[in-house]
Amino acid sequence: MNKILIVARREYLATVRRKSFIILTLGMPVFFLIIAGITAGSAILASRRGQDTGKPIGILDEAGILDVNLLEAVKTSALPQKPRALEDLPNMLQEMAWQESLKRAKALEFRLYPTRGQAQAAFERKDIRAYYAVPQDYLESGKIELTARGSGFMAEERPGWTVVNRWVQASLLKGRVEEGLAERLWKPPSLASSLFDEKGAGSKGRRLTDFLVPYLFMILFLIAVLGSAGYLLQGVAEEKENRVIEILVSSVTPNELLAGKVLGLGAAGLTQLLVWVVIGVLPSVATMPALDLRWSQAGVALLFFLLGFFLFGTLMAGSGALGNNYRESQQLSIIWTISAIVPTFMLTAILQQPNGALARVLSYIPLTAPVTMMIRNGAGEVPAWDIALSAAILGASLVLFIRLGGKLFRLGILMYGKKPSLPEIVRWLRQAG
Amino acid sequence: MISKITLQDVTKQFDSKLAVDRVSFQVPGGAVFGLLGPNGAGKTTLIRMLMDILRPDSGSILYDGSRLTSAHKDRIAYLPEERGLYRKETVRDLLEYFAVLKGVSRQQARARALEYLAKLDMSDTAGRKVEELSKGNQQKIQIAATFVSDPEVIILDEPFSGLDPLNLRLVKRLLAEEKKRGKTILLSTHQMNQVEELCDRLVMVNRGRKVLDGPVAEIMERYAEPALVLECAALDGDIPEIERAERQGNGWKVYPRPGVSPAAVLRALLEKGVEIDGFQRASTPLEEIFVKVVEAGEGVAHE
Repeated sequence: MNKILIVARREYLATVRRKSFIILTLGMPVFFLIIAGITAGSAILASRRGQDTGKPIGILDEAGILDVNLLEAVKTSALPQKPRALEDLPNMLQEMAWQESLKRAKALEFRLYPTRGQAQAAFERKDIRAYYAVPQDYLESGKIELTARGSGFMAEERPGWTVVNRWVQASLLKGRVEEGLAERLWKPPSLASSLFDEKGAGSKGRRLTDFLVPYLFMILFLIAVLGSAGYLLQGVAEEKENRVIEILVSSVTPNELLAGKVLGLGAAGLTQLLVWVVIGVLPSVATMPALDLRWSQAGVALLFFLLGFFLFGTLMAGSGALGNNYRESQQLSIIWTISAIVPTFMLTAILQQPNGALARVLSYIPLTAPVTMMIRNGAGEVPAWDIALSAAILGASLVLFIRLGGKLFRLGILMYGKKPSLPEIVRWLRQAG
Repeated sequence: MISKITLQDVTKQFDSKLAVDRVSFQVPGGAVFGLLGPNGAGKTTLIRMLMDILRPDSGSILYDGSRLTSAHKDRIAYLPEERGLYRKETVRDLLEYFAVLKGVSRQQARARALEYLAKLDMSDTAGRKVEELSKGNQQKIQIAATFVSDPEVIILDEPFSGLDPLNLRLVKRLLAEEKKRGKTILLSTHQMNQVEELCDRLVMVNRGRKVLDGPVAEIMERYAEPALVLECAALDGDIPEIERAERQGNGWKVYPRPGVSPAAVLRALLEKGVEIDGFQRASTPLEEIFVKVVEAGEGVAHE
């Protein structure tokens, strides 16, 4: 045990001192900050450009069908409702976002023009940002014309269209249909849904954070597997290439060496995760005080993160021992990388039926289990026994893979020359008995 | 002779190749022991089994009388033939790590690392990175890394290759020192002159089999030709004690008739008035013994 820790300590220190590790660890939050910066910047830019969003919208009613008295009622009806997806966001942010869109909707001001010439002139003077023309033959053609500025990315395509649309409908119905029914006709129905899960009990509905946390773990997991486990592969391949491995296995058993490496690298991976959490996640949690994590769910995600990390780490190290150099080992390891990613190809199917057959099967296959369980964990209530079974399979495979990996390691690290074929590998494993 | 390591009928097969075939020998404690053999003879496989990196298919290896296990790894140090070091590590950290891996405390490891660097005249490199050192110095660091854990048994695979004469002397001095401290040293090398000079005993293997085993002096004696090497200008006339004579360098190699002692030959020569500037018994260099034994072995193998 002691020797495992000695190896782990060295691996840890060697890894966290790597330039590429430091760059990835510190660069990732910076990268996200830059992305956030660009997003925020373009949003600010858009709202600047939208200075003219405050300007009125012109209406040219050549058909003479619009009823000015209805405008206020229509405008209020088109005010945004509190969107469901935002329900879980902290109150402050939610209020801000909602108030902002309310403000915009209320600021909609319509100006009527008697002739097309006047409307066009006002538009060219930039008194108005756009104008709708209801042509004389509207009742036959059903066409309304919009003249607006701008095109391309982020352009406001049809300002106030919802209001205009409803206004036309309301005006046409007015007096021809009973008033209550008329309102039902031009105001589209709103949907109130309640979801039932398999047990038949009314579900609370998923909250945004329920999905966010496991999803975050999944992304971090993939980065960790592709990054840190890559270091493991590289480390073993390098040691084999420069023959340090011979000295190492004369001091520790291959199993100890393997376990130490995976442990040391796991610790480095967790350090990376911690740095990301401190730099990236904590500030966002701090600005969203109401973002309450469900600890049980985060715990499940963490469990599969660790099990998966060690599993892939072991496989990577085993592959590292088989190749003659880093490049050869990398080719051998691609299969593990792909296995880790496979469940993301089926993301939609798993999200739709988190407890369906596909999701279940993938959860019981050790190589796909970590990512699948992280997705399921975020997509719905996963039965406890399912979590336990998947974790048990994963844990058992981990033990098995460490032993197999240790054997491959023992044989592979001392073999030089031709890259072994699969039958050769199998024969080695038998011989190592 | 107290045996430190004992091999009994050790056999190891790789796929279709029998790498080591029923090899038995004993390495006495405190001795410098030579393991010789041509390339591919099975030396590296034998060493790897001694290090418990490979396990014999059959037969047994005993350490101090009990079966060798991975628990013995701390007491045996190994300098592999194909060498490498962590290039990015500092010399001090590297030596410390290799010692700690063998169960030495960190504090002690640090002290020993500096001690061996001093012995090898390399104290100034302690804080340097391995990749900054010359090839010869990297080689010395390798050797230091083998000794730094203070093991009981030291296995060195071709330790002298790549060393210049000055460093060669330094390393040999280090070996002599370790021997004096009671260490058992197992040397695997092609450099026969080094074996003659350093080893007490040797084992020679060829094609996985042991072909020669015994104290170096005894083997040299056994293979010594029954001849005398004389330094003299001319050697003529018929001397009944001499069967035949060959020119060798500035002198002659003289083969006495069977049953005639070297002293009798000398006496006869002096009586004849031959001017002798020097004489010694002919010895066969280990290199020739090696070739002879291997060729004989191949001959047997071909039959």
